[in-house]
Amino acid sequence: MKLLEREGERLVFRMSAREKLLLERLLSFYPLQSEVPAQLSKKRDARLDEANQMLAEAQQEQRSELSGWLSRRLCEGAAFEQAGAGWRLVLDGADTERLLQVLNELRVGSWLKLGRPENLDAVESENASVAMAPLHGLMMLTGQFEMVLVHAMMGESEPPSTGKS
Amino acid sequence: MVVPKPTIGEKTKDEAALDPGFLVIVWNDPVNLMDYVTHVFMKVFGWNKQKAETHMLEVHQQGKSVVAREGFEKAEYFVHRLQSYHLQATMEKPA
Repeated sequence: MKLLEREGERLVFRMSAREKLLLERLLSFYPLQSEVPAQLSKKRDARLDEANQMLAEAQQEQRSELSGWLSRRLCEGAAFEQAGAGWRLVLDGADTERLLQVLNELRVGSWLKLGRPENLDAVESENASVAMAPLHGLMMLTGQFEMVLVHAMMGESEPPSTGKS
Repeated sequence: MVVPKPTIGEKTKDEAALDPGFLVIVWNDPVNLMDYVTHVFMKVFGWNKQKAETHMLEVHQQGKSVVAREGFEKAEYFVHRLQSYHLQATMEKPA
C-alpha cells in the first residue's frame, strides 16, 4: 500500500489486489473488544460511576458508528476504485481517522486477548503458542497499515520506524 | 483627627482558582505505536508535532505524561477522546 496523492486531508493510496483482500480480511474482525470496562480514573470512586457509565455508552456508540461506516465505505467498496490490476483507496480526513481508530482497536484488542504481554518480542518468539498466532498476526498487520496511514497524514510517504509507546 | 490607614488583606481567590481540577494522564503500554500516539496528541490537543512528540516520549520513557489540567467536564472530554483512539488515559485529582 503506497501513498499516491495527498491533497489537503484527502489521501489516495495504491494497493495490490492481495493488499486489498488482506485489509478487508483484517477489518472483518472489527470490533474485537466489545466488553472492556470503561474507566475514567485509576482510583475507584463511586462518584464517578455515572461518568464511567456514560463513557461506556459513548464507546458503544462509537463502535456502532464505526461499524456502520466500515460497512458503507470499505466493505461495500465505496472507497475503492479499480486501477488496472490493482486498486486505489480514496480517503478524506474523517475516513482516515476512522480507519485508524478501527485498525488500532484491532491491534489493542488482539493485544488484550493475548493477555496484555509486556514484551511483544516474546510473543513473536518461536515458543509462542500456535493458538496465539492469528492474534499476533492481526496485531502486527494492523500496526503496519496504521503506520502507512499515520505517515501519509504527516506528509511522510514511508514509515521510518514501528516503535511502541 | 487621625484617619486610620486601611488594612489591606490578601485577595480571596475565587472558586475556580481554588479548585485544583483534574490531571489528564496518558499511561504507557507496549502496544500503541509511538508515531500513532504522536498523531493522536496532535489531533486531540491541536499540538504541533514537536510538542506531541515530547509528550509521547515522556509516556514512553517515564511511564506516563500529564497532557492537560482541566475542570471535570473538559478533563472528561479529553479522556473520552483519547480512549476513543484506544490510548490508556485517565483523569486523576492532583496529589
